[in-house]
Amino acid sequence: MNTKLIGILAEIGATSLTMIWTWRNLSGFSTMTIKSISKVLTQGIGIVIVAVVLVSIFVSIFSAVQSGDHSGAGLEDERDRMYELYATQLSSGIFGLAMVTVLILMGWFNLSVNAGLIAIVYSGFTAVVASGILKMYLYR
Amino acid sequence: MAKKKIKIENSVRKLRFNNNEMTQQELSDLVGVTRQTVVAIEKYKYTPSLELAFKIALAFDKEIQEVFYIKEYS
Repeated sequence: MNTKLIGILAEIGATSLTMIWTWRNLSGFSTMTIKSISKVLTQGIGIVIVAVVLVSIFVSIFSAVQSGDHSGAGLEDERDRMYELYATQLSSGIFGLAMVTVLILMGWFNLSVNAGLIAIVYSGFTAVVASGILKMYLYR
Repeated sequence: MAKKKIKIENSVRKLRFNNNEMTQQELSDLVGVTRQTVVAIEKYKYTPSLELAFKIALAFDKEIQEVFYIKEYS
């Protein structure tokens, strides 16, 4: 397994763990205030961002040590950029679709603001996981 | 007009061996991509851009159609 796949796996793992952690802290979301829900969600988003940045740093270091190339060149080429583009398209599609769905549910079907907020953030997490799975499929 | 599907294959692997058994790393350094990309091209899992295809052909001193060709056309 190459370093790219390890990095993608770590990204998916970190996001999935954060989803579980966030969900455990939001077990009684219907009775929670919007302030406390926002705090938990912000912490979750922060954890994912920090985890993804740390993973990319470690993967870059590991990759450089493994290949012996410390110039930083050759880490990414046109194939990586193309796969990254596909993944971004997928994640944008998922997030956009979820956003519109949540707004429709809130506007016409009386979905609570608490549930809507959680659904939007979870669609973001799902988009990250889905784009990771797509990248793993492309790099297989 | 119906959309036509094409399958592009290549003879990169054969050409490497005919060129003093050039390694994948050597080819990747010559054309400026990672070794994994060369592996993916050889396994027909990735079709390179026109620019990269020309660079690969130039690396073997061949015409592009001698390196990349259409296998199936429907």
